[in-house]
Amino acid sequence: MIADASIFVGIALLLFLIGFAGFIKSKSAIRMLIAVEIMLNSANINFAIFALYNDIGFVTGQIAVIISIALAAAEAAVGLGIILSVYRNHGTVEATDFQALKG
Amino acid sequence: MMAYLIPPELFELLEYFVLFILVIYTTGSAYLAVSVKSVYHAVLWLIFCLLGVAMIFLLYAGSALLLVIQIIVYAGGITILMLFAISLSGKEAMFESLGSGKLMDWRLSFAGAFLLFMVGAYILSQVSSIFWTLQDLASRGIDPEFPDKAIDAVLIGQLAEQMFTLHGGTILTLGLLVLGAMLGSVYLVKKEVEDV
Repeated sequence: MIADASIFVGIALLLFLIGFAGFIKSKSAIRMLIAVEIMLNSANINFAIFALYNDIGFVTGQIAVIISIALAAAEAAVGLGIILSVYRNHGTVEATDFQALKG
Repeated sequence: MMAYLIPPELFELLEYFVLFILVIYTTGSAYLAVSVKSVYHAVLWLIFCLLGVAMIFLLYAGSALLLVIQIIVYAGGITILMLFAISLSGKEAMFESLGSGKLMDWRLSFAGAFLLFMVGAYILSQVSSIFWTLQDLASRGIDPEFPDKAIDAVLIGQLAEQMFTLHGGTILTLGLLVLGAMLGSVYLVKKEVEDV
């Protein structure tokens, strides 16, 4: 077992930054969803590692990760449903083209 | 007290080396997932990134359950849903901008990444995990002939118990949320089909 948990925090930070940069940079709604999944995964690594290295309880951290994964699945289902619906109405999935709510 | 199978210094070095390989694999796949032009290829790179995170769960967070859930729900479920959405969104959804995404030979890259994961998983399952388990048992002075078989069972038991007692309300709310998300997404898509 690696003694220093900060290595894993660094890995999670790196993954989060990659996901965040992808989210900012991308125009496609599907690619934004991919970036969000990467960011959620970095949060999951933090949950699992902090649960192992601190005294809050190994099982509690695992439950937090399971809840996070289930939430991500729900979010992906709704997100992809919205993307499909928008594609049928507008014929595109570019996020910059969705301006109906802009006013 | 049993002797160590391999010297602790070498063992620690091995741990760091495997972590280094995993970090390169995971972050490299994540970077490619957000940077390649084809969205279809981006989802395939996302699968490899999720597999890398699953390996971190197993080897460094000590949880085989999270590995299984990560592979089944994330790498097997969500990504396939994304591939379906891309297929249904027409050809213009495949590429973010016009022009082909010839960043590299993608067939070779996917084959390489898949091969790396399979070879890594095979080596880890055949050699390292056995070594690591025995090393752990040896360092704690437990005879590998009679390991404490109840450790895993106790962990899973605790997990199940806490899920339905301490975190019962959360799990129930989560179930309702997932049901709502499923019905909502079906309604969203079905309504459009009826309109057309």
